[in-house]
Amino acid sequence: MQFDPKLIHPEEPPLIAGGELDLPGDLAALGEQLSADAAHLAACYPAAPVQSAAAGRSSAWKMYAAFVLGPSLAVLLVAVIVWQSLPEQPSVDRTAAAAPATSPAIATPHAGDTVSLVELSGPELEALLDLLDRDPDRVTSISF
Amino acid sequence: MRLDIDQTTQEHFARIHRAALVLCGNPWDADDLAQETFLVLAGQGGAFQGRSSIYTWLYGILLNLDRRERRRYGMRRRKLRVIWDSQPTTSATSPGANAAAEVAEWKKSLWARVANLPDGQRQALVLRFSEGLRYEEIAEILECPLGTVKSRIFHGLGALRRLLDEEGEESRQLPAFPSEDLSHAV
Repeated sequence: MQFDPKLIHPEEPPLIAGGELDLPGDLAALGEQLSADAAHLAACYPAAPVQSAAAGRSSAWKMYAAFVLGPSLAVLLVAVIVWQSLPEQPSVDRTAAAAPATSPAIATPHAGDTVSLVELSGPELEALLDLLDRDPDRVTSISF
Repeated sequence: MRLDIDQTTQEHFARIHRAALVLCGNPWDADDLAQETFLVLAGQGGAFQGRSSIYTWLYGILLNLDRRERRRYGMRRRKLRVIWDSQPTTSATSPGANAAAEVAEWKKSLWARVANLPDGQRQALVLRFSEGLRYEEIAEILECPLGTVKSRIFHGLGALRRLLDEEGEESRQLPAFPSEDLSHAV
């Protein structure tokens, strides 16, 4: 059997004079209903206000400021506040740090002349303070 | 020919958004499609030769984007269609606050049925009955002969008629509230 395909063309639409479609009553009503539905949908969901390109650039700058500069400033502010609220660090006495650790209550006016303040009684401590007052030239240091 | 993008956008955004609305069927996709149309305009505005009116050129961009999106997300749309059809109109099926109402409005309209038609018929019906364009303008946008446009509109309306008839028969076969026989209660 010879292969003899035939194209089936769709039914040509009926036309009236002037080339307009001659739609049957039900199809014409459907067309009107489509127009009405489109208008109704457009009224239900109006287009959002359009921004101009200049406004777009302005809003882009605002977005940049909001997302980049804002957090940067916040981080900077927090850092400053934290820095300010930190307790002041005592200056480190390098000679004291290098010295061997001693008992907290040991007074060492001179090497080899160590007096433990804990072991002194009240009158003895008073006498020691009087001696220190009488001899102000003597270099005395207290270690803890 | 140099286009003023801002002015063109201000003048034509509403009509392009309306066409996108009936093409997509929901406002959130319509917003994206309309905005993308004008992004293309901003990028290719220099290519406009002025041989046609600007809005027919914009409709051409819109329909190309719509075809591309339908191809790209065909599978996703089919899945959404299953969800869409399985949900009653009163349930929320979109992320918007008034999603149920938004979906319900579109589902009630004839354009929800037009969405099931082939691309050629669907786009011709949108341009004719939503946008009110002349046949010559539609032929220019769709880049097809005038007779083809008329044929697509005629057969598109016929297909829509058949869809509605089938829906009517189904609804007659499955009444929403079957009548109860209360004779036993008397």
